[in-house]
Formats: sequence, C-alpha cells, structure tokens
Amino acid sequence: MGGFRFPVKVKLPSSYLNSRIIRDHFKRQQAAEHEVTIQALKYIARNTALPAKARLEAQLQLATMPNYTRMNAIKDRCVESGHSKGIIKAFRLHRYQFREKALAGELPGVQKGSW
Amino acid sequence: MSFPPQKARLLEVAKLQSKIFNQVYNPNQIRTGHKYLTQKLKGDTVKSYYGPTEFLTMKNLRSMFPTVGFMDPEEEYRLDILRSRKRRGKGAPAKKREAPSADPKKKKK
Repeated sequence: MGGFRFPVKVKLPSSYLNSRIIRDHFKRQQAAEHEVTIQALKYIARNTALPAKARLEAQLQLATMPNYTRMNAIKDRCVESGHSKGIIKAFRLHRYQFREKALAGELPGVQKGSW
Repeated sequence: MSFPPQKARLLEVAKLQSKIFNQVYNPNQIRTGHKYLTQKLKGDTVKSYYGPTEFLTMKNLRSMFPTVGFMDPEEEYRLDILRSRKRRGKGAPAKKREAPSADPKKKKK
C-alpha cells in the first residue's frame, strides 16, 4: 500500500472545487514551499565551478525531492469549472466560462465586440 | 590605416561594461548556474491562483450565527417545489410509526 496521496494538509481554496483542482492546488502549495530549496540545489548542481562531488550530491537530492514539488507540474485551470484546456490566462477562466461571465456583465471592462 | 583593437583590450571593455550594468563578467562562458540565483521566485503568485483559502462563505456565516435567519434562495426554491408537490399529492410518503418487523433479510429469502 502506498502512503497518503497528499501527505501534507493544505487548506482548500475559495474557487470551484473538483479533485483535479484540489490536486493542482496542493501541487502549487508544495512547489511554493520547496521553491527556494530547489533553486539552491539547481544552482549547486549546474555550477561547473564547484567540485564534482557536491554537484552530484545536489543532483541526487533534486531527484529525491518529495512528490508534487516541481514548478513545471503545475497547470493553470479554470477557477469556475476546472477545465484545463482553452484557458484565458488573464481571467483564469475557460473560454466558455469567460463568455458566459462576460455576457452576464461579471467581468469589468469586457464588452462584446461589434463593428 | 586602422587596426582592430586587441583581444585583451576588448575583454577589458567587456569587464567594464558588465561592471557598469551590474552584469556577471564571464568571458569563457563557464556554466556558473548564475541564472538560478537571479531567477524571480514565483511561489507567492503560484500559490494563490485559486483564490484565498480563508474566505468567508454564507455557509460559514450561517454556522457562526445560527439565530440570524440568512436568506438562501436555492434552499427556498427547493422547499417551494416540495410544498407544491405536496399540494398535488406527489410528496414523500409519511414515515411508518412502527419499527420494521424483525429481520427483513429472512423474508427476502
């Protein structure tokens, strides 16, 4: 049996929730927490001026970091529906949710184009 | 006739330039991992993508002040429908008063 999927307790966000959003939110918290450590390890590992042993050790530590601590495992999701594709980044919304909210006048400054 | 400047002279210029513009002087292009030190930390922005974790919802408010009758349109709507169903005789059946007779499992056999 594996351990707990989310070994660290994390508070839930205020957006729409589904399992994928919860997972991504967890990843974000973990990545933010371990960011400095990972950057420092990367600096040691990639610095050719440092002794080879230290670099190797840093590389090994990087490889054995806990799960869900990598920045590039994070995916922007729609905060209204949890969609992962077709996201309009500036609004953090799926294109359809964006349309619905914009038409309902819930996005300040967004107007339907007409010319 | 003019000659191109010597390499040592050019390096000197590069060194001065990097000093003025606060850059790293690295003439041999050795990989120093400098970019990992100068990269912006994005943890704080990444963390709060899905909104604040401490957020007061109506549900919290209701549990905090149970005596204050907060309006809940969705719940009102549901109760409204239930009432209209009851009027038409389509409501849920009344609960039995007696306890169920012993061992319903035996009957199923």
